Amino acid sequence: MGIIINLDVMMARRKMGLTELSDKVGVTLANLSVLKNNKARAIRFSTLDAICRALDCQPGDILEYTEDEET
Amino acid sequence: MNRFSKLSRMTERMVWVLMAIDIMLMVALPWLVTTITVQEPGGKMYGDYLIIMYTSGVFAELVLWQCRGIMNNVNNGKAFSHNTVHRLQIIGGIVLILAALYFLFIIFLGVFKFFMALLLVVFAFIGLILFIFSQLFREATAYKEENDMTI
Repeated sequence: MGIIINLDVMMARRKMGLTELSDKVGVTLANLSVLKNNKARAIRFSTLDAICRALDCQPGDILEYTEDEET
Repeated sequence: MNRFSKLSRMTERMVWVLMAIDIMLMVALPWLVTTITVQEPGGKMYGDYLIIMYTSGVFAELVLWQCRGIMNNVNNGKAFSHNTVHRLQIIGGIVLILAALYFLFIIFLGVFKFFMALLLVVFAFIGLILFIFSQLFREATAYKEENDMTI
């Protein structure tokens, strides 16, 4: 899929760890790890909203579209 | 533990009991055939009855083994998994093979003709239904995976 999650980049910029983000967003560490490693199939608006609020950023800072070689 | 999980655990144990009963019946079959069908060993139909009942017993054991696996999946919270889909397909296949064997028995063996024709239709129908169910479970598994991977 051509959508890349840049959660780790944003977390590094805000100097926030996965555990702290997990607490603020209310998503389990395991699920956050799935999201960070680009293993997720979809993301709920509510989760995106909570992540953007916790990291003080825009959805575009976390999500990035790249041309997929397969398609 | 809610009422449903109690029931499904009890069902899994029942499947084990049925498997044991099936094995015991197969061991006792040479004597049981004599009692049930009034055919003595070496009699005209004795061998035919024995073939039909042993075949049914072995296939029943295979189906029960797969049922045990499905119940185990249900009890471990993995009802919608590829394993369940695979097991349902295997059961469907076994039942259809049994229906085909019954068809051959009707042609080549001279016993239970009406009763076996009835069973043939029932098994063929159940086999097809099981294949449809396996397809339903395959779709449900895909939905579950999609849901599980939605954060």
